[in-house]
Amino acid sequence: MSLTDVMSGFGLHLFAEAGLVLFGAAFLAIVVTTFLRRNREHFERARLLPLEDDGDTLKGREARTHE
Amino acid sequence: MSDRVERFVYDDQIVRMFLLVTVLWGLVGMAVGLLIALQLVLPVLNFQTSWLSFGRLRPLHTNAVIFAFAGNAIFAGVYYSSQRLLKARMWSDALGRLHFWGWQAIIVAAAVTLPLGYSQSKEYAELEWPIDIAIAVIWVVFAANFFGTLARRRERHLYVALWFYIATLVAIAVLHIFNNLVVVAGPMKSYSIYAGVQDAFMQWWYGHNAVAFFLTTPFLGMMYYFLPKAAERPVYSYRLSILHFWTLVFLYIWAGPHHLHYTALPAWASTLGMLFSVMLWMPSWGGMINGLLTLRGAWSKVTDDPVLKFFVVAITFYGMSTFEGPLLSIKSVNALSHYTDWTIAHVHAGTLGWVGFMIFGMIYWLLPRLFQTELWSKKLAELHFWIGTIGILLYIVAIYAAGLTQGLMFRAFDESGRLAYPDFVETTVRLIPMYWVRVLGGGLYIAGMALCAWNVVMTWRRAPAVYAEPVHEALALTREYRAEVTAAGFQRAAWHRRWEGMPLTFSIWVVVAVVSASLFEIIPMFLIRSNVPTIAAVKPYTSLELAGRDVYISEGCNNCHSQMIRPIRSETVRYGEYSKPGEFVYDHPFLWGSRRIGPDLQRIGGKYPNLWHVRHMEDPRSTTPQSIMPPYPWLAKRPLDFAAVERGVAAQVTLGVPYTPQQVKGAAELAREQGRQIAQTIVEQGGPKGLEETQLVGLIAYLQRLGTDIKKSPATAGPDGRRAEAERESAGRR
Repeated sequence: MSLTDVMSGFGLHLFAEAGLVLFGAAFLAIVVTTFLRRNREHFERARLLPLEDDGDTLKGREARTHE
Repeated sequence: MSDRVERFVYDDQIVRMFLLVTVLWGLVGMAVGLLIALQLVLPVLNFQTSWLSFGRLRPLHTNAVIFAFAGNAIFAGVYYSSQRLLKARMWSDALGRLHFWGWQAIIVAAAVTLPLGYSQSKEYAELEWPIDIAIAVIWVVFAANFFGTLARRRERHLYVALWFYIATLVAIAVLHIFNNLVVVAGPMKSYSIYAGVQDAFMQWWYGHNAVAFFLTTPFLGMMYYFLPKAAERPVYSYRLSILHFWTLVFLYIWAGPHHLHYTALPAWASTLGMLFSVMLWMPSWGGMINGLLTLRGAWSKVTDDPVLKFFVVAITFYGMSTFEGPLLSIKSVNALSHYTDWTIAHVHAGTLGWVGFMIFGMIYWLLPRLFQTELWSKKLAELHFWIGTIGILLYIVAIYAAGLTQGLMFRAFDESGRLAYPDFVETTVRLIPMYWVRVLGGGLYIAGMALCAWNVVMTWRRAPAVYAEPVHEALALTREYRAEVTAAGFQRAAWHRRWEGMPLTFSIWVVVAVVSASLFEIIPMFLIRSNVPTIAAVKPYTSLELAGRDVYISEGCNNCHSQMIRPIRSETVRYGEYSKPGEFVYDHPFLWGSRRIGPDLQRIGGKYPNLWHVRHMEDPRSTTPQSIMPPYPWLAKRPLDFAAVERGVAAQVTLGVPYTPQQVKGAAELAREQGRQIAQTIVEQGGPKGLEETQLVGLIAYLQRLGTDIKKSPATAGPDGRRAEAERESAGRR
């Protein structure tokens, strides 16, 4: 009996349903943890990260063009 | 975190290098796009030259704008933002340079080989196997440099932009490798290991997710970094960005089969693709809203700042495109839109609007910072924005109209129940005015690109002779950090935060999400027999037909002609019996196409005499007066490579195509014999002599075979197709 025989014996619905349950559960877990109150401070700090870097070589310069 | 302060400088030279080539390749790729748009209204612009013909240049345009223009922009954005978000210089300057020069070499190789006709035929994956290997190697170099930088970062938390970059890195690697698995048949020739339905499935699993993970996720990462920088305020909702990320990763990978509605793909797969595509509305619009609301309180800046203008329009186009994509995935809508310019309009709204404008916004924001001088001309950037926006609108409005027009004409019946436009060319001629508007719109967009290039060059010229390298300081991360995040543990529901601090674990989970979603679709597709019922009458191509098929691929005929008749009345009346999955079991690769600029060819076999094909290839307007197809005079002059014919048949045997040892050994001689027969009928029909060993005869053999197997009983279809050929030839003598 080949793998093809085994797979052909399964109903197709099994794959779609299993996928839906697994992915749905994982997504729900992420939603829950994302919106937990105790994580708020962490995310609040994270959202400021792009504005923290001090690599802006233009700081303090007068923004002027050739015009 | 330790109390040890570390000092470091960023490698901005690599960002400057990628930014400059982004502009260069953008100009080249878009210029090729303008040329092929012109070829559709003025076929004379094919110049009767093989390497300038539409079928060969179209893949050059798509590959250049995706992998050269967008690709280099991604690398510029990733190198710039990652260093700053991680507070670390890139792991290796040498790997960065290897990445840069390797990628440019790949682009040059593509620019040379595609016009020369070296192609695998699969959309956005046309490049042949040596270049594919080079892409994989250079991608690994990029990944090594990126993950090496993650490993020595000085910021614990991985900002959401980095997650999008990680998803891009791992998903593109998986997609590229598995869609390009081939059996090699020569230095620049290969055959896909998949056949027919399964090859189509793999291609659009790749094709759709190349859009997802090359044209969407990296640009979302860049949006989450550069938009807050330009607006000088943080992203509206960080939590929403997390949901945006994970829903995209979970959902996108399933959606590919919606490109194959009503084809020979099993219905369960296409329905699954449709459902997941519709669900994509949710994260995409969440992301768009998050982007636009980041500007809350800063809208006044948009009026003054061209960077923000580009970003706002880009995000708006992201919202429009991601609304339209799921809409097009709904079967009943797709029945109208598929094979028409509607898809082309959708793609260009996304690429010109979302991808292009994100790149331009990023370039204008980066220019003063990278070249340490003011932007040469803000007014020129403003002008670029306006003519670019008008260009996009002209382009897409015209091409949406063209798509709807042709789609409705394809399916129109008159009062007597006959096709209202039975002659295919009627539906093409109707589009010409709209194609002229596209030329105008595209021309404006390229003019904007040229202004951008001018601004870049002039800003570059004003750069200091030696760039300042500011030294930055940050506390080093300590090894205790790992213990810290582990202690946070699941019991405190901080497991996602823990992942965010552990790049390797995070990347593994992204891989698990992408691969498992893929396997849920791929395993049943490959292993359940009922998906591809076999047809006894369908036999392998003869060696000459196979060689002709290679000519078809090389000339890029699949860019304009489909080989897939959907079970829709207007199609079966126009083209004949609908296509069956079992008809394609020997098609390595599949050639179903995705756009009908010319008619479907699935049942072209036996429809016209051989001489008609000779005249048609020589000058399409001699047989179809209003045709916009380019002439192919070189096919009647160039000899078939019979050594390649032998290699091709041998490679097909490796793939499991049931040729006998005699057919393999005598492949070249059998091809010559069939060529002589076809050439003789051409002479008998009043055509030219001396075509028996030309590429044209090979192509005619292939075209005359197309779609004929199911019209025969199994008994009349010999394993080498010779008896069937005799039948076709007798039909061809009409």
